[in-house]
Amino acid sequence: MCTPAELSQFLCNVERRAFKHAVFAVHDDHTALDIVQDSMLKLAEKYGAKPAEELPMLFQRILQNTIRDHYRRQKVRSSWITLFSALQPKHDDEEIDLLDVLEDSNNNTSPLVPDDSLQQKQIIALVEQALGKLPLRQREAFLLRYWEGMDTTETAEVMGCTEGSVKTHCSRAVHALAAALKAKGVELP
Amino acid sequence: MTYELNPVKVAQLLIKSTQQLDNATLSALANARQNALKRQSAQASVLALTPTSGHFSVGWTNRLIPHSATSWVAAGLLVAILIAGTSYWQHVQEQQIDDTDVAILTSDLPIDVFVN
Repeated sequence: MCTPAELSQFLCNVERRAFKHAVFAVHDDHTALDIVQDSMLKLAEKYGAKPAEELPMLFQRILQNTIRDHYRRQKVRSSWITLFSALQPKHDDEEIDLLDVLEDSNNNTSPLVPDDSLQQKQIIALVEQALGKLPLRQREAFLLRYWEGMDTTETAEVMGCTEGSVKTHCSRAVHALAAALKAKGVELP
Repeated sequence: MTYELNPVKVAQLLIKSTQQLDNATLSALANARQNALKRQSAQASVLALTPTSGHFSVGWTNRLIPHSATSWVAAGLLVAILIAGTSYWQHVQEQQIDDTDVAILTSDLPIDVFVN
């Protein structure tokens, strides 16, 4: 059985990565925080008595399931919103912002050259953006394998699929990321 | 020509990105962690107070015992329905036997009794 200190240490180690996992999935910081908090509570409540070495697998499984639950709720909610919004009159012309279409052809100033840290931040932002655009299963497989450091068997267990599927998802994720970063002109240092 | 991407480099960048989280997010994560730890200790104390935890057969009997007022009411209703049903069934049976006895005594048995 894991002690409160072990659980605290585990959660401390995993919380930032868990938050990022959730952000990539839901694209909203507040929702991501809710998901991480729910996952932590579920882990502590239902599996707080498990040995410490079982916590990473359990937590990842809970996190992925909580993200999927969020998707399901979102789907139901959006179907209701679509239903009700269809009944309301549309005002498309109000949404146009003139600044969006304003051209500045006489502006010849060169863009600012970013310093290293800023450049790194920009690269990180582009990588995260590309990750966020990956299909759910590909992103899960990629992050669990290469970020969480799980092997194929563990990843398959967390994702509830075969090892072959994990390899396929990872391969496709790597290719998709490479293509997305190449299109943006990003080369990783 | 395809651009070879090293996943380890992506992971390194992601680790750097976790180090750049803002204070509000870090504080929210710390709160979430503390809440989870409280939940673990609360759950542990509940388990410690339960004398049958960890024993399969006794655990099942423990689950069968109602723990809340609602459960007790539901269990009481179930028992009352069972008793009422059984007594009604017995009453109907006795009534049928009585009717047959009366019919035998008065030699007024229906024809169905003699068929087959």
